[in-house]
Amino acid sequence: MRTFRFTGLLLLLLVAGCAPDISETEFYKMHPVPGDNASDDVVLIDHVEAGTQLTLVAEEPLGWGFNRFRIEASEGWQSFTPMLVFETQTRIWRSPIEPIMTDDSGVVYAVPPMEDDGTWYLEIDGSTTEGPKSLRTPVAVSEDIWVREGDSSDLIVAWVAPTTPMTGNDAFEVAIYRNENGAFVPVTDASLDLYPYMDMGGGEGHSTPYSAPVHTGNGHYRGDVNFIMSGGWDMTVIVTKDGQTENIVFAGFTVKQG
Amino acid sequence: MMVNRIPIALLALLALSLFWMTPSAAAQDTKPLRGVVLDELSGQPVPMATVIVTGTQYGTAANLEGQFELLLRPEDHMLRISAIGYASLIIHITPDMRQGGSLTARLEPSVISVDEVVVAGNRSRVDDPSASAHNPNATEDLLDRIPGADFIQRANFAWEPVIRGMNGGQVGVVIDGMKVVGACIDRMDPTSAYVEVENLERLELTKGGFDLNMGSQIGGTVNLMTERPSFEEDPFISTEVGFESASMLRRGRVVTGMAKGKTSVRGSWSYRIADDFTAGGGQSLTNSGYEKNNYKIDVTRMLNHAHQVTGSFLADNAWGVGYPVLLMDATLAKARIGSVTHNWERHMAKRGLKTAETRIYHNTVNHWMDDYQRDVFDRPVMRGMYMPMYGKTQTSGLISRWGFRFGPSRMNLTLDAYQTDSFGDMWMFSVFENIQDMYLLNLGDIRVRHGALAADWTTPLADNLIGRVNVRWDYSTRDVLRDEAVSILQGRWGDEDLARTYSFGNVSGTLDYALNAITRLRLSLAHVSRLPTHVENYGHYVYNYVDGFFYTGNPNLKPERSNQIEIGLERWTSRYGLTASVFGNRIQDYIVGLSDTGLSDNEIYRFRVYQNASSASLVGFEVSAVADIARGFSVAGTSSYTRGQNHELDEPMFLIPPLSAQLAMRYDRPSYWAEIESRMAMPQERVSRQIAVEDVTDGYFVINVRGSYTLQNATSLRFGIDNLFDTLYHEHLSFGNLPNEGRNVYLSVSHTR
Repeated sequence: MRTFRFTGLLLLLLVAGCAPDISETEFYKMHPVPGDNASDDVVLIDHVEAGTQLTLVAEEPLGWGFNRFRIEASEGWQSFTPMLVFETQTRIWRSPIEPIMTDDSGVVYAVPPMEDDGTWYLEIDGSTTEGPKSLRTPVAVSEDIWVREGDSSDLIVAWVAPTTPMTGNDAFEVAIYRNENGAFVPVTDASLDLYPYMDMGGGEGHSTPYSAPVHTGNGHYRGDVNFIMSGGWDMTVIVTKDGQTENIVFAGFTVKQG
Repeated sequence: MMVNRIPIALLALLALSLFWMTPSAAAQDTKPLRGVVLDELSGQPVPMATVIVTGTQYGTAANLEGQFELLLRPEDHMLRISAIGYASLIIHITPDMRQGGSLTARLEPSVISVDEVVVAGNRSRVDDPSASAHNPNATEDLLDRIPGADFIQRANFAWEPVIRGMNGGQVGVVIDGMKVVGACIDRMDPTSAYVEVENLERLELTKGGFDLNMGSQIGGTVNLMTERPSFEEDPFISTEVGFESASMLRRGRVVTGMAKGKTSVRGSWSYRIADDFTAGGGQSLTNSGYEKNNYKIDVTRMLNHAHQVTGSFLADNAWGVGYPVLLMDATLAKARIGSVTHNWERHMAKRGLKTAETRIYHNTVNHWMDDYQRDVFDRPVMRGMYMPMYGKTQTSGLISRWGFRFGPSRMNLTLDAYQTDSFGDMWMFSVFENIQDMYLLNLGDIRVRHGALAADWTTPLADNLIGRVNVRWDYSTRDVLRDEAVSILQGRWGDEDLARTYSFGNVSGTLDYALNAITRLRLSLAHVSRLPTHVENYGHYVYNYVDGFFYTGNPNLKPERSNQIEIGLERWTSRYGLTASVFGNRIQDYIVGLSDTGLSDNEIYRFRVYQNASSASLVGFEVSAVADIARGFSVAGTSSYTRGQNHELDEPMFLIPPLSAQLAMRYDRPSYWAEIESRMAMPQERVSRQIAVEDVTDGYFVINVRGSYTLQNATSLRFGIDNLFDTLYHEHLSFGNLPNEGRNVYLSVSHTR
């Protein structure tokens, strides 16, 4: 009997010793559900013809700035060159291609801001075993923050990398051009500094560790940025050329959890 | 939520304790216990040993031949036998002893200063001549009475121990020798909070780096030794309810246990709830309440006369813990601590292996904080955003101790190994619509693996001289396992591999010289190191509430190295006792936070990185004394002082307590006692301006009175008033100048059957 009483008492102690359920507290009610950082690919061309197939996929929806494509072609395709084309009633403009930016995931194209009314097309000129082959399809290219023009100069600064800013150490790269009558000439002799900044509201904010980008060729400048936390950031690229300094601000981009 | 059940359960348990269990049949016996106290190594009598019933001051003293007589009372359960130069001994009172039996107590020589608090019954007594018979409501109350021990106070809850001006990673806090790592990156959950008084058998505190058996620490170690099931007591249930006015604290405790055959079980449960507390002058501190429960279950199985196995499980939950001077409060803190222990003892062994204890353990700590109850616009930093924080740790380990005897010498070997995984993060949700949610990974799955071997050798060098050498070798590896944290830290430090390995040795030595039978001198030297904590190595922008800086860990930190000296004196006669010690501590590769590269162009966000940038030194003293001035009357006092100097920055070290003292007068009779006590501290004007942005703290003087009365042997009333004159003051180590409680009237009733 005594053992029974004792056991009952221990069980009572256990029940009485429970703690609040954390999931019922405000802590979790207001906590975000961790999201999936991976974005869906955008299939731009999926052409099947006479036993050949060519698929062109963008990692993100197309926008101003550098876009990464992934191209998968079957054996029937001998060569191919994709091209982004912007057409208005008065002119046709072809985006600069930078094959040197080819990486494991494909080719990178720079798309400058185009403020005229017009239509973007994705074209592929190439050849198959059957002969020359061209594909053309309209695509949507949205206005985005990844290309900025100087206020007091004709410099165009395009954000190249990271394409998806993440917390942690990122290689940071921009390409700088000068717009000379529609021709985008790489600027190779500028000196750069950075000022990454997180606005935390209420007039408060802070920066994060970085190294100033240096020229690596063809108008590209590379450094490092170590985003210490996820959230909304601004990046000021301070470009000095010919004794003049211009602040180019990429404002309001999101750094995701790495 | 289970909270509403608790008061009902408490009332039910109290009713059970009063009417359910059969009263024990211990009868008053007029025959005294006769005993003799011997030196375990030499077999010689130990003169002037003190024999006290634990939890009281009822007892006697041995004569010059080590002999004593003591009439035991029905409510007495344990004896504590102590003498200068020896480790104290706890003995469970058996029925034979109550009936005029005999006892031979063998004390082991101790040549290191270990302050020990033994807890039993309704009161505790500190192994120091000046320690008062205090009513412990929490473990902090026990530590608070040891000279040289102080606390960092962040709230009216869970104070963090400071020993001789050392804190944080410089001080080790273990539970039964087990490593338990707090989950809060801001150290809001010190390990000492997990052991409630009803589960504490005794508390051992070593100051400085002279005892290396529990860990490599330069500040000292607090070992919270928990109660085990007993085979020598009748089934019992003990209950206590209490109330304190300053925070309207209500609490209850239940402890029960029984033994049947070769199995003994012990269980305990306690609950506390406190509202906002009131400081001196009636100042109410909002966001200072808390709620907490704790339970522990132990089962011991006696395999044979030499072997025992004990399984233990301890759970501690605290929620709604307010931190009035900080930005946020603890939503919930949970600790789960489990262990299996094997004990072996060769009782009659004169040589060779005598004892062995091996413990395998696992514990988890989870800690949630948020500021949803705060006005986030009304604060100097992080304005307009909510910042829920989460942290967790998981530790598994093994600790094995082997005790050898070689004639008059003894040696203890310790193997200590554990692995800890830690995680901590913080979200920031701005109330401004244009500000995105932010996320900060403070600890990205840090894994620490640690192994250590320690040897402790004590041997007589001459008739009146004992020597002790303690050596320890530590090997620790640590790494960052989460990719995000790896990338962040690689970007900061430029290292491909963040894994680090530390390996180093420590050594301490003590000479204990007996000037005569009642006076001993002790000289201790130590060359010790302590490892960087996992936060100091790999923390990422950890906000420090002391100085308002964000701290970044440094994988390249070297261990802090320390050379220490201590000279101690102990003298204990039948009329008075005196202990005193002076110490010096020179620290090299002192780990502090120094300014990081400019990440902010304002004074709101300030950044630091941990570096081995400084050397520092500490000197100080502790002195305490007690004197019997008349029958039942005694006077006791303590004083301690530490002076710390950061040599590289040429400024005082931070978090150094000022000169402080306590003086008490007691009157103690078998069924009641009373005490009036004064506590005082001088102003602390030696403050750190560069490292910690401290301010000068005023001195204070407060008076406390307390007493206890025992009714019919089994029921006790305890009562008292702390801070009698309602003085408004704060300790130098209080964060944000958090004031101490004002006048606090308390009352508790306990009953044992």
